[in-house]
Amino acid sequence: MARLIITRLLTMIPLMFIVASVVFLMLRFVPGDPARIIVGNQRITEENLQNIRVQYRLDKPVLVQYGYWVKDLAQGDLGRSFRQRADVNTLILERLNVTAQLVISSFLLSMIISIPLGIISALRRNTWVDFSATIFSLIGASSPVYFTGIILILLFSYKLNWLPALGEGDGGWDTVKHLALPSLALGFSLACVTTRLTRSAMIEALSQDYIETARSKGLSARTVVMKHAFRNAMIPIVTVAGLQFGALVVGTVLIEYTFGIGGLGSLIVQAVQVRDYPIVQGATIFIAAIFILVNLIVDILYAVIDPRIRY
Amino acid sequence: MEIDAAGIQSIPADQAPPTPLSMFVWRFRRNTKAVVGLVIVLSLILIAIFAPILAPQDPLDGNLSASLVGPGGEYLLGTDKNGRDVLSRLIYGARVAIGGALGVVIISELIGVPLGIWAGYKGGRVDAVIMRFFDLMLAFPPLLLSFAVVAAFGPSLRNVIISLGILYVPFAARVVRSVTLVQKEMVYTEAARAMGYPQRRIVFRHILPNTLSSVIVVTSLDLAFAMLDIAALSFLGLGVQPPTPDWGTMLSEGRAVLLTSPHVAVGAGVAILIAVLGFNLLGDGLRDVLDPRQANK
Repeated sequence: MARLIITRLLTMIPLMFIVASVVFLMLRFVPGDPARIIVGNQRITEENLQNIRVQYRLDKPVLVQYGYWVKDLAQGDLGRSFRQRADVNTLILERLNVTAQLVISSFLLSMIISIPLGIISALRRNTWVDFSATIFSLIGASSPVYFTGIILILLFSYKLNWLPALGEGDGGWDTVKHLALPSLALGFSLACVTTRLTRSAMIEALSQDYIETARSKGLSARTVVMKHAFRNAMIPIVTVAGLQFGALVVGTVLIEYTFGIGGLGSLIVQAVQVRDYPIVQGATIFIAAIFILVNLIVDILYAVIDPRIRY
Repeated sequence: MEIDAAGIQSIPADQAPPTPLSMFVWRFRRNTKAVVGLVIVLSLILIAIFAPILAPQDPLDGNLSASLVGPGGEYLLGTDKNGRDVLSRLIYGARVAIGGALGVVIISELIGVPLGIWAGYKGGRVDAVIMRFFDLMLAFPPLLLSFAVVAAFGPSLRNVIISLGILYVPFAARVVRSVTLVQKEMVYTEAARAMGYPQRRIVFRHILPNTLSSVIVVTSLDLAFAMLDIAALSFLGLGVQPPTPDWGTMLSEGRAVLLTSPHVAVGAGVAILIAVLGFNLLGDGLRDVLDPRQANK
């Protein structure tokens, strides 16, 4: 296990390096003067413009810039924003908290909705419960997450007046109330995919011979379903749950924009709109790193769930 | 849904033996998902083609004195903040949605299908290099990488289509590769090789036609994904630019006036939902029809 973690962390470095380089080089080979982006619409003398170029090392050739950038990256420094007077690291850390809360609560909600629903659908196959769950998840999976969010705002904020529609709240209970709808929108979207998967994984597991054996031994239905079938259905579920992290990240960007939440997602979108390259590349690399870590955790979980898997 | 189990035996004995095509049509018609999906998709295509005839108003020309009129009355689905007819904009939006998604899928398959066949047929190092590279691309959500492209080259539908098209290459390539791996080992491919046929002939006559059914399924599902991704980028203001009638952009505009005029956002959202649902249903249904073994998994 320790060896797995170490090798995976080591393979992570070249992977990160390639992602980082592609993003960096793509943004640098673009026509236009980045110094002009930094000043925006302000009037500025050519001399000051030159100072900015020197300050951001934009006067150097692209390859030299790349060298500096790799050196900084190796030390964990993602550079400095073009538009906001702050380091990219600081900006990401500031915004990380609310995004992390959103991601974790959405993920938990999606699991709470989808796993029981998937199991029930599999156990009551081809009944009205199963059909409605299938139709529900098909429609949910086709609805863009931000549209699901807008429907929730219309229903729970404007119509029923239960929950706030915009912003991230001022901490504590207020934050819980503010993040409830965005988490529900995102969690529901993810749940639609996981429900269908849990259902088919459970049907597969329930059709195996050892289920028959367990039943004939006189074990309770509960033990058969949860201990025998579900445990074996967990492997495909965990795989997809890990893969869904990508959908979760993209969903967070869209949901933050929809609900006006100032998290990592809105940071990226704003940066793309004003072409603040250091933030775009820094945030992309940051997310890539988390992405790879999540996949590592998924691999470790396999071994925990299924003792037959050895690394 | 018709009774499937009983239906299997219901080919009348006096008919000619079924051809592959008639078998396909017969199975397709019994698949509710496929039929519903096809009806939605065909309607969308017709709406896109005949938009100028179907749209009751000009989608670009607004009447500012009729800004944000509610649904019903003169404007069936109301107007947006520039006084433009929402229904007409939704109808024209089908063009951008379908055209954009088709663009993405065509680019991805023009690159992905040959690469997938090449990797699968050659095997060995070629295969390993191509597949590692795709793993790397798949390790990342396409939408997030499009952000970097848009940041670099500016927001436009063209940039979105090209970037998504390239980022979708692995989806098509991986499916085609796995079919190629199977076909390569088939007896008839073996026989063709033994008879000394050139590689070109084996690839084009034996392998390529057999990838067709998988490519059709991937096309339909990828069209759904592409539509969602393009709409998402437009929603964020990074894709289709106003005043072009587009569902994602309309949803974004509708979000700004959600409290007073929810009809703008809801109309656009429902349009996206139905279109994506149609392609998802068609893709799912086609997979059941074309590959019954896969479907039971």
